[in-house]
Amino acid sequence: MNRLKQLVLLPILVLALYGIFYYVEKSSANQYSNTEVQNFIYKSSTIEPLEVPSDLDRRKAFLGRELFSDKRLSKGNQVSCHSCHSFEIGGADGRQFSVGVDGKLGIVNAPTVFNSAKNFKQFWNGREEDLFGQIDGPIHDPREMGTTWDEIVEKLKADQMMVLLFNEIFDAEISKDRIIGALVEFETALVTEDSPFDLFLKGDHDALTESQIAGFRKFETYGCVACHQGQNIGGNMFLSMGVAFNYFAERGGYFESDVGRFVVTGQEHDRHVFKVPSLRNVQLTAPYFHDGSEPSLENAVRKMARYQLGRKLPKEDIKDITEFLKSLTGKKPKILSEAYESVKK
Amino acid sequence: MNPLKSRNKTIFTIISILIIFALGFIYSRSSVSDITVHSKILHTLEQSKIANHDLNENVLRLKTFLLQSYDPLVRDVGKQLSLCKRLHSDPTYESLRREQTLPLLNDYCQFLKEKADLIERYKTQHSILRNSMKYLPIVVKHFSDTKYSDTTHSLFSNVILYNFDRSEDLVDNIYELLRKLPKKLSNKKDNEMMESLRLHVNLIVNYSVTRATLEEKILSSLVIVKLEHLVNQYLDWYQVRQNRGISYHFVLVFVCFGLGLWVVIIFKRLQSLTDDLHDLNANLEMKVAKRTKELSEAMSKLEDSQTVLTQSAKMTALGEMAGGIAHEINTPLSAILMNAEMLMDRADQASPELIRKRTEAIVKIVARVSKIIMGLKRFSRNADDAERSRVLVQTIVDDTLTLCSEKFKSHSVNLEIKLDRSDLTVLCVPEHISQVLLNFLNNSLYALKDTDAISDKWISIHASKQDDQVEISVTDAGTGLPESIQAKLMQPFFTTKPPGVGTGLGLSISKGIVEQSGGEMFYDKRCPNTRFVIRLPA
Ligand code: HEC
Ligand code: HEC
Ligand SMILES: Nc1ncnc2c1ncn2[C@@H]1O[C@H](COP(=O)(O)OP(=O)(O)OP(=O)(O)O)[C@@H](O)[C@H]1O
Ligand SMILES: [Mg+2]
Repeated sequence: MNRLKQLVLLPILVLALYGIFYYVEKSSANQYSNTEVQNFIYKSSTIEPLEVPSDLDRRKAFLGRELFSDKRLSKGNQVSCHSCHSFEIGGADGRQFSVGVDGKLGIVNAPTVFNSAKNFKQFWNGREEDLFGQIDGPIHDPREMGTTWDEIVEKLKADQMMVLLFNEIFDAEISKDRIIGALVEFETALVTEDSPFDLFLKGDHDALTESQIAGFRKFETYGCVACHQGQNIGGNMFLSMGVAFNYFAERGGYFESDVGRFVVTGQEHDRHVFKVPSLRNVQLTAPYFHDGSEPSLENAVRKMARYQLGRKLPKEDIKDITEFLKSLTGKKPKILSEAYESVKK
Repeated sequence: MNPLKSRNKTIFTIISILIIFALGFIYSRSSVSDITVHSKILHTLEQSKIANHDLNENVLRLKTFLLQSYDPLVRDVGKQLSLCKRLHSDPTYESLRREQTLPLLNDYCQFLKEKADLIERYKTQHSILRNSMKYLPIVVKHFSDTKYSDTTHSLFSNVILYNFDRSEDLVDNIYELLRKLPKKLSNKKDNEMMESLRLHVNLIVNYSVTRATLEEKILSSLVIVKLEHLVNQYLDWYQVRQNRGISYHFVLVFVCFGLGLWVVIIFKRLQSLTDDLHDLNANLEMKVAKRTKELSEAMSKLEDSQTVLTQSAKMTALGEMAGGIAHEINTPLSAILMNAEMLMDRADQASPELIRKRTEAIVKIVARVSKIIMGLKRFSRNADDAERSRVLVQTIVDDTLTLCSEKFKSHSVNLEIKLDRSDLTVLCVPEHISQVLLNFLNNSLYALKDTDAISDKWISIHASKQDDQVEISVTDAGTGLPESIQAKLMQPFFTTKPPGVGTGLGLSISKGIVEQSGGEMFYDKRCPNTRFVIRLPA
């Protein structure tokens, strides 16, 4: 009887021990099976409607909204982001060149901050990959805010209210990264949804006027859509200004900012190359082009046709296309009108 | 068979700890631990591959105008770059940043960035080309009803051809055809169109070349090769580790097996131990009974030997007395002989007076001899069977002395007998008490006989009545015993006599005898001389 017990006991023991190790190994292996299936199906549509990202941290975004209008982010508390990216002027400032600290003028036209999170790179020459990197630009630029992060953090820390806000939202003290985090979260929320054209794309055919629909057709057939396309109708590629004719020569002389992307890469083929701007809310963001040289949208379209398409468009077509561009003006981002939510937990 | 000894215990603990550590070490080296990370790494590398594949596919789709928006391309590139960034900085992928793999990883990321730049340029060229290609047919159509129709049409077909097959001949052809066309036309519209035709043909030829080279560069980019290199290098490294892990795994299994075996053996031993215990328990009572029996047997043997010993002690005492007895008997016998010879010599002339005197003497002496022999007989009789009786102390002392008085005389030891009352009696077996007294006397004599330290040699026997007891003491001229001897005096076999001379049983047996008789015996410490005392019921 004892012998039998031992005969059974031995293999069971060994099996049990091995089984334990085996189980440990397997259980950890099973966690990561290749379940994520790649999505191969792309929509071939050139333009897609905008959507506000769903995974926003609203409290951070609200804090970002505060900071965006906070002049303490500049030297001598002179300007805020809002000074050059006004929500009333389509996220831009309506000037050819922005006025920074001490009244200094910028060298490029300020683009809109609306939908800028959807741009594939930041700035006219695309020198920053994303919004996180972008913010350093205006903060340090002596023609914009001309300050340092240490200064900003120090100033904000002196404000009891700010300290409390950061504490509540980040559960930590004020720091450069947290300021940037909040600003980026806010900018990511700055999406101008439900423009008439987006509604049209979503199936509401009454959203556009006849002229606008014709304008859209012409926008497509003339080939504006080859450069201004994607969700942001622009902002997903680089292109040289003056494909067909020399824009700069005809404008009269070269400026510092005209080199474009060459500054970033040092490659000759990147000379005069700019990020194709988004045409969303373009109606509101005059003057146009990187040099802010064109106050009229209609003329901007005409110039585009000449320099980028190498074509002369009939007046009627320009009018239609301009009308169409006006249909790209979306609603003001919700985050701007929403009541300041109590951030208290 | 004594695993609970503390030394064994510590060894046992140390071995267990060592085994646990060894197991832990082997386990850590076996591949088991990094499978999670491994699958993550593979997953990410696989994703990179997929993203790269998608990117290539989308570039091709762009070329065929199946893809209109660059957003998917942007996403693919962004995804691949962010994966690359992750591989570079995320601690999970540390094993990709070892000496052998880091250059490959850097290579891969470098090539990826280059590819991303190529794609940016490609997008640019593609957009421009696309527009011009779309516009060219319109321009050509404008001239379809004019004399330039043929030239423009063949120009168009050559340009289209060139778009697919960039041969020098075609370029020459195209420029040849362009040259055939007029520089300026009178009609403003026609003139514009002609300018556009030149412009776009030039654009297409230029951008076709760049786009094609870019396309080639993109599709032949070594990104995938570099990635594959990285993957292979990593897999090689992982395989080596895995193999090592597997061998350790085997070792682990082996050790587990061994441990299992060991545990079983221990179990088995424990089992047999418990079995033994069971057996022991079962046997215990039997054994105890056996042992008890053995013990009682031994006891009885011991008792027997005690009797034997008593007897032998008696015999020894007897033997010791033998000389004395011979002397005792010899002296009267020679006295008898002397008287008998005298009677024989003077038989003729002897007066009746003399004859009566001599025969009286002979009778007296014979009586004495018979008395001695009687005493001897009485002494040698086994005392155990004897009955106690009330005997005069005087008789016991006389009987004892009959046996040994001659010895004292020969060693010039004075014997003094002092009885308080002549009618003192004790309740005892008289032979026993004689034996005790004889022992005392022998010891005293031995102590006195060969020493020069004591000049006045005496032994005194004293008897007195104390309440309902009679005290008999034997004192000699000795100056008492040292305490070390006093303590052991009554122990059996304790003797200071040389081997063969004394047995050391004298006093112990005497004590036994006295106590058997309901009395007590002790050495009198208070006495300045050597004094032994017995007390017997009166
Ligand atoms: C002095 C005016 C000024 C201020 C203040 C300013 N900006 Fe700008 N902003 C500009 C100009 C000019 C550009 C274009 C610069 C370039 O492309 O080189 C720009 C570009 C940007 C862009 C890139 C948009 C795109 O699509 O490329 C973003 C995003 C942005 N600013 C956000 C901010 C934020 C956030 C702040 C506050 C921290 C800020 N700006 C403050 C003038 C300003
Ligand atoms: C070959 C590419 C290309 C084509 C085709 C093209 N654009 Fe542009 N577009 C650009 C670039 C690049 C810029 C920025 C130029 C600059 O600012 O220097 C631009 C800027 C603009 C702007 C000014 C936006 C602003 O906020 O400053 C408008 C408006 C515009 N394009 C409309 C059009 C229209 C309408 C068409 C079609 C007729 C068109 N574009 C065709 C590349 C193109
Ligand atoms: N009267 C005495 N004087 C000095 N020593 C004595 C006397 N009586 C006893 N002893 C000591 O006590 C010891 C023990 O005496 P015991 O009679 O028991 O044995 P033993 O005399 O040595 O041997 P055995 O009686 O067989 O001759 C003696 O050896 C002796 O040393
Ligand atoms: Mg503008």
